[in-house]
Amino acid sequence: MAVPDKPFDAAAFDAKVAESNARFQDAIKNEKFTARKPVLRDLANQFKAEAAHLRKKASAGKITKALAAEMKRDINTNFDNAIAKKTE
Amino acid sequence: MPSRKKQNKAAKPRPKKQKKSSELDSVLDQVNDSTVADAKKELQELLADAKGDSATFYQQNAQKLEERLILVSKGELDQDDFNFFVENQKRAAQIFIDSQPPQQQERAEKLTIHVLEVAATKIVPVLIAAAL
Repeated sequence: MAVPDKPFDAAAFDAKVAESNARFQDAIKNEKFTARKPVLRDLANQFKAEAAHLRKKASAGKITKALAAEMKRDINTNFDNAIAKKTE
Repeated sequence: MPSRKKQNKAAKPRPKKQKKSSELDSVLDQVNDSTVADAKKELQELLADAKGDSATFYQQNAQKLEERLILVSKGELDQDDFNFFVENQKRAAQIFIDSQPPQQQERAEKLTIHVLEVAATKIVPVLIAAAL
């Protein structure tokens, strides 16, 4: 969605972020262990912050390959911690 | 017999890690500004201390910080990006610090949050200025 040297598709980016936010909300809602809910909320907020940073940089045309790679790695780790591990 | 073979294998050096350290050293060599000499020395000492610690979190934090400092020096990340990553890392570090016994929290804070702040506030601005 925010690839260096390619035009930034803000609408597609926002739709993907909204979809991911919804998945975080589902994960929080369906979490059986109350103690884990604040952790999931924190991860959801972190994801929102990462998406906002990426959007700001992409809108300004300032996405570098390194930034894209670093953000992707962080977001994937965040996602794995919150959602993917639950489906294993 | 097989255990002896395994021991030999484990003793092999890690060239990749050595390369990264020397890359960071050459990045920090760009920092000749005398006003940040103390900060540079402190950063190097804290990173060495963190990498030598047995706790994985310190090692990972130091490794990520090193990688990002190298990217800043190459102009691949700007101050804004670096600050963003530091804030994220500080949040994770705070959770780690809170999980440590009270007598170890000061050291944990020094090897995580403090080293990140030194890098963000004192080293990165000079690296960015040098890269311009």
